Amino acid sequence: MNWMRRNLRTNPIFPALAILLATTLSGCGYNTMVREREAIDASWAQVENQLQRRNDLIPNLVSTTKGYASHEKEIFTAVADARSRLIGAKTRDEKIQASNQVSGALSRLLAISEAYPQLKADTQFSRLSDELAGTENRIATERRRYNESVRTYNTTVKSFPTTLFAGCFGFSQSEYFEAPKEAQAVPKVAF
Amino acid sequence: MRDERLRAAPASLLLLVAIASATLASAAIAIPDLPRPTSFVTDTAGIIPAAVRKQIEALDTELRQKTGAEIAVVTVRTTGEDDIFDYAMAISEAWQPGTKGKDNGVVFLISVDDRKMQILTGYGVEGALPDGLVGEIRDRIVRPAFRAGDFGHGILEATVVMAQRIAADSGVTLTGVPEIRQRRSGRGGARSLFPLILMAAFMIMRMVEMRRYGRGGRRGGHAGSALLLGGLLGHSLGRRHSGYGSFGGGFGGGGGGFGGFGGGGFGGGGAGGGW
Repeated sequence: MNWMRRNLRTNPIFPALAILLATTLSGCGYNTMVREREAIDASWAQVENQLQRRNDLIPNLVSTTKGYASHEKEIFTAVADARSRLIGAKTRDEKIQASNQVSGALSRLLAISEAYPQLKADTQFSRLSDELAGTENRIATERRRYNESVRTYNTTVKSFPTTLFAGCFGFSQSEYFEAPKEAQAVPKVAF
Repeated sequence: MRDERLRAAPASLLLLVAIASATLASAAIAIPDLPRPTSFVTDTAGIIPAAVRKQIEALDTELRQKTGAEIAVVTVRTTGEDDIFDYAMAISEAWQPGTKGKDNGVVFLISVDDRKMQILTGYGVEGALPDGLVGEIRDRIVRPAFRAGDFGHGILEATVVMAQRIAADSGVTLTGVPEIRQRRSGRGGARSLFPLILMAAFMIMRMVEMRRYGRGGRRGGHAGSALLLGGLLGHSLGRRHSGYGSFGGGFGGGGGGFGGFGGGGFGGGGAGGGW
């Protein structure tokens, strides 16, 4: 160590090496990958905000629906299960799965409401449906932006020559937020 | 080895720039032939009468001067293959109404032949215009007017309510608010009286509420609807009329005419549907 420190000051080869290393790193896209991975995390945070927002809406929506369609127990259980699964989800992948499950359960809940004209006429229910539809749209929007930042990053990681360095520095490809068709159908419900 | 990499570096940089610009270009929803904003009201479908259009523009201009918020009204004949929401989102991302950083813009899209409309709220106006309230505006104002074929007034009245909510949220009052006419329900009898009673009830609630909580602060959906209805009633009774001399004041900008919108961001909030 002492040898190195002494040489750092005296030997001109070390600063030169440092500069070389820095330019090589920026040339190989290290900084780009760092920046793009940060962008993914930022857009994921937005997705999570909206998932949280939807989870907060669910109890009100369910209790309003129960007032008119109390015997549809199966769907209420499905919604509650999906909601608590999302709350308990730890990894990004688990959250995506759970979120799709919530979307599916909610779209079935809304489909059921079609059979109850009094429920559909309830002002509280209409407003909550609007809030829910708006939140599903927000989730869809943030999901799209998240996927865009994942695509940007993955393209960088896979592109030559960055791909040569990506592995060494631990930049692996990131997961997309894939939503099934039925989950995407929710915001398209016409009220 | 290192030398080779160094030589490769400029090439890889170029590649990265190319990738970055390609992905940036595709970062928004890609919809070709989006209309360009010509003013606050971009009526490509030609459904808004000139007089109403001026009223909306005057209101929008005052709103922008006082709060920085921008309401973009856009009409098209059809959104084609694209969903109304996706189309509205594409417009919000291309036009970016609202002040940059405050994100206080609104996009009000009407697709005439598809019989669909969508109101999008920017991040910064989600508090003043929660989705439930926007849904209520759609149900109580936009749908009845559009079903009666009166696009102009449906759009104007919805814009008035939204502008007032945004102004109230910023603690300012709009003076150039155009008169909202009473629409006849066409059904007559006790049925047409019911909304009036409802309005009166909400009005009283609103007064009680204002006494109790004062003017500031955020309210829930219920209080929001009271404010909305109270505001509407206030308008139809107040009948304040103003000149539209302020029109044009906000449209600076050289060359291309309309100075453009301010760079607001949208997250997909709002409400839409058919009529």
